[in-house]
Amino acid sequence: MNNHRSIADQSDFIWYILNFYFIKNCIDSVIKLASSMHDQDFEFTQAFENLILKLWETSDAKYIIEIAKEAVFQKLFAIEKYILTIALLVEIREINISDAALLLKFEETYDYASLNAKVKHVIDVAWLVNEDTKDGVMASMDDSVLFDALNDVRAIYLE
Amino acid sequence: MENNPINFVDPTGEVLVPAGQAIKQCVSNLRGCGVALKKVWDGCKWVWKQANKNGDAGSTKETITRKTSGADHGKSIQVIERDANGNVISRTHTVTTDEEIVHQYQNQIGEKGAIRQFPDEWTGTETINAPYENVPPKFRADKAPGGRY
Repeated sequence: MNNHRSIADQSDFIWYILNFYFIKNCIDSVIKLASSMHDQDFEFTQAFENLILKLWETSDAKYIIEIAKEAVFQKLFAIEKYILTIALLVEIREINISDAALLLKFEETYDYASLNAKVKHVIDVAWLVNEDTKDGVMASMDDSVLFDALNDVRAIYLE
Repeated sequence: MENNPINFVDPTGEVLVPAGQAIKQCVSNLRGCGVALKKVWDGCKWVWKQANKNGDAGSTKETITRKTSGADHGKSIQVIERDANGNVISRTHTVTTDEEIVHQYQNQIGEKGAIRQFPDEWTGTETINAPYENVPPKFRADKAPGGRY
C-alpha cells in the first residue's frame, strides 16, 4: 500500500496500520505509513494522533497494540473489522476471553443478515456465553467456544 | 310476594329489584365480559399464529452448544431462529441438568431490535426459571461516516 492518498479517513488509516502489522506482518510498512500521517487530508483524534506519533518516533510495536485496543474501545470500525481486531488481540492475549465476550455484546439493531457467516457465528456464540455468565451457568472462559469462533474469523483474513 | 327473598318488595308494595333476576343479569353480564375477553385473547393468538405462519416460510433454526458443562453439570444451548432473509427472529436459551430443563426462555427479536418474551402458549416454548425481560426497540441515527455502527 504505497499510495496513501487512497486512504479515506482516520478509521481507514488505522485499519491499514493493523492490516500491515497483524496480517501482512510488515512493520516497515507500518512505520512508513505512520510517517505519512501529516500528509493526510483528514485530522486524527487526539488519542490516535498521540499513539501514531509515538509509533513513528520509537518504531515500537507495542504502540500498534495500543492503537488496536483504542480502535476497539472507541468502536472505530464497522462490525466485521471490529470483531477481527478483537480476534487478533485475543490471539496475542492482549484481551482476555471474558473481556472479549463483553465487547461482543451487541444490540440487535445492526444488519446481521449481510455479515460473513463466521462473523455471525461469533456474535451468536458471544450471546450464549454472555447469557450463561449472566444466568450463572458458567463463565466465559470455562470453555473454548468463543475463542474458537474468534479464531475462525482471524483465519479468514490470514488466508 | 311480601318480603319475598326472591322478589324484594318495599313497605309501599312496590317491587324494587327482583333479586333473582338481578343476580342472573349480573352473572350473564360477567359471562358476556368473559366471552368477550376470551374472544380478544383467541384473536391475539390467531394473529400471532398467522404472523408466525407467514414468518415460518423459509425460516431456519441453528443450535449452538457450549463445549463443556457448568459447575452443576448444566448443559447450555442456544437455538437461533432466522427468517428467510437470514435475520435473527428469536433466540432460545436452554440449560439442562440430568436431562431436565432447569432454565429456559425465548426472546423474540423485532425489526428495530426490540426484544420481547411472549406467552409460552403463543411461542410453544415453556419459560422456566427465567426473569421476564423486555427491551424496547431502538431507533438509531443513520450510519456515520468512517464505519461506526
